[in-house]
Amino acid sequence: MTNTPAAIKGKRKFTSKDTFSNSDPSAYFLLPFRFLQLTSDSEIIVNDIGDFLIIPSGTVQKIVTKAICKDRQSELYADLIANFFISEKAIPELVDVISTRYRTKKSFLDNFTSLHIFVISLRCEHTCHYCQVSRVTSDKEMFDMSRENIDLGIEIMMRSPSPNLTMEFQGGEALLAFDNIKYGVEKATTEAGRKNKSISFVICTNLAPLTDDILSYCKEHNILISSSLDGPEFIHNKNRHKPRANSYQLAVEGIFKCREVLGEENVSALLTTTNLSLQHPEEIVNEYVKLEFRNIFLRPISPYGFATKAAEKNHYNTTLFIEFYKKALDVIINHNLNGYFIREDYACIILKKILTPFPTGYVDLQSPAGLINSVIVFNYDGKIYASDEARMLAEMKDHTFQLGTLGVETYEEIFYGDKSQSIAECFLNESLPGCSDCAFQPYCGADPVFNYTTQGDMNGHRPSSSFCHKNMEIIRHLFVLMNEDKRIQKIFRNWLTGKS
Amino acid sequence: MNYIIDNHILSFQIDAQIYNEETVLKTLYWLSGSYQIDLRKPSELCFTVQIKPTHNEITDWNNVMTKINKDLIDNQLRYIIKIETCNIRDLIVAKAFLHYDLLNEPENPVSDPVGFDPKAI
Ligand code: SF4
Repeated sequence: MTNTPAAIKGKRKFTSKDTFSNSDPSAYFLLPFRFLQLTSDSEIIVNDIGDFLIIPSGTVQKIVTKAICKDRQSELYADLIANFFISEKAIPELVDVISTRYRTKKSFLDNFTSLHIFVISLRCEHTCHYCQVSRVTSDKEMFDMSRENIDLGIEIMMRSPSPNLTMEFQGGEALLAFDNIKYGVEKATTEAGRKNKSISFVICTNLAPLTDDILSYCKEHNILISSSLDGPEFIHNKNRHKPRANSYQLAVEGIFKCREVLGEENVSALLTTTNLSLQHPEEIVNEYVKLEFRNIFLRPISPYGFATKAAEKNHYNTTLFIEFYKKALDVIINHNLNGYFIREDYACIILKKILTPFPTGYVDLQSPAGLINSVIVFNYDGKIYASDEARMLAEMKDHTFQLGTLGVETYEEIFYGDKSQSIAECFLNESLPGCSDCAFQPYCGADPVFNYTTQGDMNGHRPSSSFCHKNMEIIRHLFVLMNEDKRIQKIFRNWLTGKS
Repeated sequence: MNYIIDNHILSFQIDAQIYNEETVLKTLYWLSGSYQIDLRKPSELCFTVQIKPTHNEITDWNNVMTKINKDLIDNQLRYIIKIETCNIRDLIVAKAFLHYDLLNEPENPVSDPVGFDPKAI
């Protein structure tokens, strides 16, 4: 018999009140959390709302077996209570706070789809070797979006419950169909006004066809420019071949013109990582610094250029990308330590999830996944896809993620139809094998299109997934950097507040 | 945990009285990218496992066994956490999204403590 007050006073009819109170300093209740080994001597615990603690190896076992003593390990005990890993009551007093924070983490769902991508033309004047989509042609009939389809796309966009919409024009090279962009901007502005919605516009362009007239139109209608810069001239021109022209020069001149007319904050550049880029992390970052950029997006490898269904090749390429990423991040951090503010966007997306209560709008790293919930794509030919990657897949003759056709299916059939529902079954990382126990789950996402493209199955197989391999390593690396060097933690926090 | 290696195949037993099926499956799942795995439960007392490299490459089986032993313990801890916290997790998620349901409830000033239909008054 154990030595409890009731056992000592064996003859009492009712058990004493003390039996039910939490007099044992180590008697606490666990709250939901996940853990993993961070380094050889530390482990990390993370709860559903993204709070984390880095603790010495072996501590999780003590927490779970209720071996943490409130008096002897008061600091750890207080941290565990304050960060909602344990509670002294079965239902913590602050359960409503935890729920509200959970709700906030998922608030990107509140307004449903806001980003509407219009592939306004498939025509392009570049012949980039990694692009499997664009066509070098002057056949507008065949490869530009018709006005009728633009109208139908806008009609669907206006049905979105979101009060804030983004209409993004993509290509091919979108500026080759600038008349249609103007038509779309004007029509959508009128319709948004009628529906009392705010709308912003983005044009994705390589900037080669940019003219002063186009720029002043963009200025007048507050259109943002998203361009591409793959690094120094020798990389950019190798990646982005334009017959009889210097693509790098056109891009750089275009970026400076846009900055001058639209303002620095209204033009951004995206980096496409290729095999060549992987060998030059330092040169790429330094090019961005030379051109006075304040951010760089070391975009993860796209499955359409690099990855295939060959698991080993994917693993090898992902390992190379992770090495590249870590080296480039070091260079970026050093620029910050030397007083030049430049942030890395992929790290920022993850850091925002780690260090703030808020979600991000980045569609590739969300759970539920960003496709359909946050983004929808209207292709030049009127076909509707769940994401930009889904339309790339369709260009490879696989229409698995086609949700319908403009003018044929209704809004309800597109967004809530059988196809959307079957995708929905595997777009929560909370319920995916492997992810369901992963400590990084609140910072990561689900990507059924990537899984399907690389592994032939929307659920994916985490042990051989390059999506998992990449995110696991990058998230782990960010934690290790923050934990080892407080100066880096300060830089990361500054990236989120925008302070230099 | 004792193990034997025969013709590139690692064989060992897991005590089913210590580790449940969920723990064993989750542990072996993370090996399934590089190995073919054969899992059986010949009795209530143990699981038998056979592991073979997918491509017959040379494997440091000591490392693999160290990982398996560690993962078994970790996954058993995860199981304990899951069992102890599943109700509170459900409560947190339910409360987080309760707001939507409340908004959809028809507003009616008449309370209904005994279960009659206030709209019928
Ligand atoms: S994909 Fe990998 S890193 Fe991301 S939550 Fe799933 S298991 Fe964790």
